[in-house]
Amino acid sequence: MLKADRLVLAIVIALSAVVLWTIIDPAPGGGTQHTEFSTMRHGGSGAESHEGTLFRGWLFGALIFLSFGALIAFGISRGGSGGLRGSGGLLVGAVLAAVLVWTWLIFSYQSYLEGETQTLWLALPVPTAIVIYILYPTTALLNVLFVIFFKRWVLSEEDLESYNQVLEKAGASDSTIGGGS
Amino acid sequence: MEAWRDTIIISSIGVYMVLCVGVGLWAMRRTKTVRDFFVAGRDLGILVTGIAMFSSTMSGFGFVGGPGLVYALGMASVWIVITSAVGYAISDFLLGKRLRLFAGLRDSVSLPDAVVARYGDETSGLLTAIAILLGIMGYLATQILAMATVLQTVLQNTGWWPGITLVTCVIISVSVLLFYSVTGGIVASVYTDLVQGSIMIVAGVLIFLTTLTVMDGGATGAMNVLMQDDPEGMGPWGTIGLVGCMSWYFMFSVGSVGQPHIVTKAMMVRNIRNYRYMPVVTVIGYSLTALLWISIGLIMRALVVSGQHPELAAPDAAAAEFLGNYAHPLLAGVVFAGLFAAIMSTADAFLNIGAAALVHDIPGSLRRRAGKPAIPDSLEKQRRELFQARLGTVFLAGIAAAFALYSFYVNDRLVALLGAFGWGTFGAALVPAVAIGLNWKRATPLAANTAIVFSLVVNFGIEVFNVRIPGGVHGGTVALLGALLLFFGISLASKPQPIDPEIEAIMDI
Repeated sequence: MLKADRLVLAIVIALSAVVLWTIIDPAPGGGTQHTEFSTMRHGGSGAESHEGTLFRGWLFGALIFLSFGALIAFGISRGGSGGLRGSGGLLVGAVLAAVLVWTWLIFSYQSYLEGETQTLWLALPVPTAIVIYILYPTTALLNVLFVIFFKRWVLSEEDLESYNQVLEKAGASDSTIGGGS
Repeated sequence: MEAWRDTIIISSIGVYMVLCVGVGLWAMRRTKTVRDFFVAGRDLGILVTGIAMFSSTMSGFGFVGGPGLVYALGMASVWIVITSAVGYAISDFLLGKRLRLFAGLRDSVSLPDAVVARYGDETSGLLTAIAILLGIMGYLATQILAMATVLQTVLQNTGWWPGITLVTCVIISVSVLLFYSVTGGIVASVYTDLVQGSIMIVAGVLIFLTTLTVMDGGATGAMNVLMQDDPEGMGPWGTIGLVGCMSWYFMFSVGSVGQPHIVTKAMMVRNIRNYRYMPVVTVIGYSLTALLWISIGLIMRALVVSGQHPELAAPDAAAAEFLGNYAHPLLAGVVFAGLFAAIMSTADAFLNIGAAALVHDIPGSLRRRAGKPAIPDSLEKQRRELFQARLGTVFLAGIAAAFALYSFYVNDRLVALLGAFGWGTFGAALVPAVAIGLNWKRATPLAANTAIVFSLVVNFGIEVFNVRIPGGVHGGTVALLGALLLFFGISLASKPQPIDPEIEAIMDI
């Protein structure tokens, strides 16, 4: 089984490769000075700015979402009895959901560039609406998992017992166990 | 009511500042030891800690710079805003429990303390403290300058004190900040954060609702105007492009795990069981506050583009212009107080961790080298360190204030340079050494030290030489990836280092 530390390292290497690729072969550009207002930038032509780089951008984003999952798995995995304890599928599912929404966003943006989806969803262009109304809540699922699986993934009663034992051996005291809420 | 606008704004700011002073006086009675001063005696509830965490994240940058970024760059900076959920999630999973347990076992009161406990290496702690000190100086000076500038603008525009100088405004605002930071340390800081965070939430929600009513057709009407002018700018990447946005997203989300003024608060929680509810407070609080960031920026851009408002003198004027012209006077009062709250809640956190680095971490590292405990064992010595902590806070604020004024009158690049240096440096230096290192037994002190030095050199080099990375990639992203690669590479290539059995046991939990 792939260890979480190796997974994080592999994703960091992949992200570095994409960044290097971007530096060596940069996209044509991202916006220009607004012609009327000196304090604003103008997006210019998105099609020209992103010509031939949408796949690279998708790859960069997908790797970033995978890095979130890998870092969280890394935080959960440990040498003791803890870890994902059979419910890792939920973490994988949350990360894959983010990657799927990300992929949808890229396709939606492609249509936006072609002028097909200039309609608004709740006062925002469709791809921007996907970012705010769907991608953001999807990533917030990771917080929901933290709350729900805290006792299983993060800190169980056995973990607290072990902590107490370590404290006892070290002659230290901490209100963590005995303290009120 | 309109006739009272100026009075309401001044009164709101006055009431807010008096409230901060009151909290400082109350907290002074609860601050008896250096533990109280730096980690609130590890006795905070989850609501207070959570609000302190999100309000420290949303600084003056969020309330002033955020709307300015949306006004100037379109939707691009939304990628900074939406990092909050995932940033807090990674931080909670990787560091929350770990830092709290380290603090309980080793009586750690700062991040460098935890680093020394983990690696058993004084140099690692010293380098972490130096990175923190360097990182906060620019941040602090920026916050002080922002406070003073806003105060000067308000007092001049309302006609209450037309001739007030920036120096006087620096003295007034720093005095309030210092009063509660010195008397009550982190206890005052987190409880003022409670007030500040609550004001910020109310301000965020009410401003968002107000922006819906400013233009004909509401939010849809405003967006139609913006779409006609610049559809790409309203697209998901704004005016900076896909790769640029995603490099911000990576740097601000993963990098948030290395922000000492945010993650250190995990060490202050009383009952670790309740840590599970932390995201409920942080994510909801931040999201509601961030409504102000996006809504003011968009509406001011739409008003200017449609010719209903003259072009702003500078993007950062977006919030002030909106409040002065479109917000109800009572709301403007709340938001101006919220603006001070946003700035002060970050500044007090920086002052506290900076003072810890100055009077505890660096001398503590030298004490430990001499075989003495980092926190002196006798009560009298602890009281002396508490006095030194207060003195250190004054010293740091004084240096930062002087630095801010020097930057304003002599060299405006200096503070901007160090302000930009902060987030990227903390991210690149502390994500590997702290966030990964506290979870990974294979990590070595050499790898941690190399990552910290690399981060300082690269981030400083990028800012000093004004390096622009091709393809719109953020320099902080390059530094973070480089530091992570070095950290993993050196750790795996070097001989595994023995870990203290107690620390190893904690890492197994």
